Amino acid sequence: MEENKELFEFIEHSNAEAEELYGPSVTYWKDAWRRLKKNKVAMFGVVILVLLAIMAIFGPMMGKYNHADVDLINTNKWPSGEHWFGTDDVGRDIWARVWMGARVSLFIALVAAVVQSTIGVIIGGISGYFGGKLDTFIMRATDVIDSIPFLVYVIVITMLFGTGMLPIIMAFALTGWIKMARLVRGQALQLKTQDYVVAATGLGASKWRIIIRHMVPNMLGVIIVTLTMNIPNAIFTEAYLSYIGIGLQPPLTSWGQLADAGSKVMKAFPYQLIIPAVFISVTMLSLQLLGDGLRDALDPKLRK
Amino acid sequence: MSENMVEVKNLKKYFNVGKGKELKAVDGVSLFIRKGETLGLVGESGCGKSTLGKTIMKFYEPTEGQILFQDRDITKLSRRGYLNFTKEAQMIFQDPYASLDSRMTAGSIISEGMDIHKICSSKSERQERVYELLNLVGLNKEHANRFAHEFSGGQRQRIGIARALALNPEFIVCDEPISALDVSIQAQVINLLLKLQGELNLTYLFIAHDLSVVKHISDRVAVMYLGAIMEVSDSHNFYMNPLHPYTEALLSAIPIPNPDVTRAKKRILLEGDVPSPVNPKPGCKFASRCKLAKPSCFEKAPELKEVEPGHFVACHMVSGE
Repeated sequence: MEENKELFEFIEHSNAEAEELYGPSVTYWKDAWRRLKKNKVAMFGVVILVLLAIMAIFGPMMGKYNHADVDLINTNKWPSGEHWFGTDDVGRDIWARVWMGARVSLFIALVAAVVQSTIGVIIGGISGYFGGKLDTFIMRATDVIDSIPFLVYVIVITMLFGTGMLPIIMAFALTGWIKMARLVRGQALQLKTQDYVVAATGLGASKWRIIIRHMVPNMLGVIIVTLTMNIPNAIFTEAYLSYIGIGLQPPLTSWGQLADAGSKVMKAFPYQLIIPAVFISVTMLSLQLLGDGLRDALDPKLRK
Repeated sequence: MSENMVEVKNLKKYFNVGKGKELKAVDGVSLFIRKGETLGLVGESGCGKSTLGKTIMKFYEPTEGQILFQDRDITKLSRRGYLNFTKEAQMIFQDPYASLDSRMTAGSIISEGMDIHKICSSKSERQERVYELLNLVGLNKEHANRFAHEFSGGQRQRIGIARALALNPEFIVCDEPISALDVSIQAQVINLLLKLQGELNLTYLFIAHDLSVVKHISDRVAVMYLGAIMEVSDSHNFYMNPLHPYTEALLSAIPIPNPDVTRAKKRILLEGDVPSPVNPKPGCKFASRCKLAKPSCFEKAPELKEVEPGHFVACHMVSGE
């Protein structure tokens, strides 16, 4: 077959066009942020969490009542224009109590999760990356700390420091890092033998650089998922501690405590349980959605 | 200054495998690599080729012995000394999938060495250098912003080569750089390595188990068996006039794409398996599978001796002892 040259013509290829195709230079973090913004479900979680945080700050000021004011005439009132979320068994306004509880719950959960994760990542990272005798020593020490029940720590700490927010956070910090440390250690052990880590060493990278530039970004997915799981866990644990009387004491409140109080009058006044339960659930759902989105955003392999 | 880029003297690398057992991955290796040449290092899987390469690159601390790099002793290095060494010696890895961090773009992988050594004073200079390197290994500018996993195996290996070249090294250890690639891509990468050697005056230690590839790329070839060097000679001599019985057996296994030749060829089959490198017996490493073995072979390990100019063999039978 003879080719008809008139039918074909050369197209000039220029690099300028190609550059337009691929877009500007992006760093890993910028790219991750861009992908997170595109993820509608994750951004929905972010919006809900931001709204909750704003309401925790301003919510108590919006109602007419103080969270601690007892009104024995208006006990167990259903939600109305007067009391937006109703009142509890001693006539305290639940709207005010929910947002005061949000402050406490979100604060404890956030601080506990961040402290736990930080300690866990550092200890696990050191243990896994440096390995050897140090690793054995750290992991055995971890086993010993882990072998004592959580409640014993809480009781000892409340004996020493009394009840309140700080002792609870301390109890969380003291025990919660273990899971994270084990996880990070496993990851570090696996990652440090990877060829790209060896290659970075061969380029002269310091241990610090390898940890920050290679190990942490590659572990981040696992860390973030664990972190978002730790937050609801902290909210629940606080509720359960309050229930057995070594958590927060009234009139200071939290979502866990409100749910606990509501569960006692569930049949007669279900709104007292449903309202805090909905807040706990929505918070957890938002965190999970955000966590999922972050894990996807931080893994360029899932880039579309 | 001697003409040797690298000289290794009686190098040993043992791994502790527990219960007092030692895996002797590299057991008394001595060799040299001249400036500007390619030394091919061949041997079966698990014979210690990669360990030798990685020990020369200082990824492992040698158990015993000495490594000279451009007449400097690099067996023990300070942090500063190691940093200087990394500018002169680099490595290309076997697995192009594991050797690139999937969370980094090609550009940041290539420029990592430049960042560590603070070679580039400005961002634009760094960018230019990355483009230059991409161009050198046959990739385009626009590849710089893509993540490692978006490339094919051959392209990834090119990125690995660009990363190794970023610091302008003189010596590169190629640790089976083509064994994970498709045959058609293997040729491309080999030709790229040869082209770069010509342009940049590089010295290679080329580790491989494909004898045909080694023949194509190497000036001299070293054969390794169970952590010891069996024979070293120039490439031509190696294929035409092998002296060590193990080398003969290896060469007889090269497939030749001509059925007449293959039919006429006598394949030397080695009996038995490779002995374990954990606590090996004394004597010649190859003695247990060697047809020529005499009782003396099981008692004393032969030393690498120069039997012809430039042709070294470690065998009692060949050196006539």
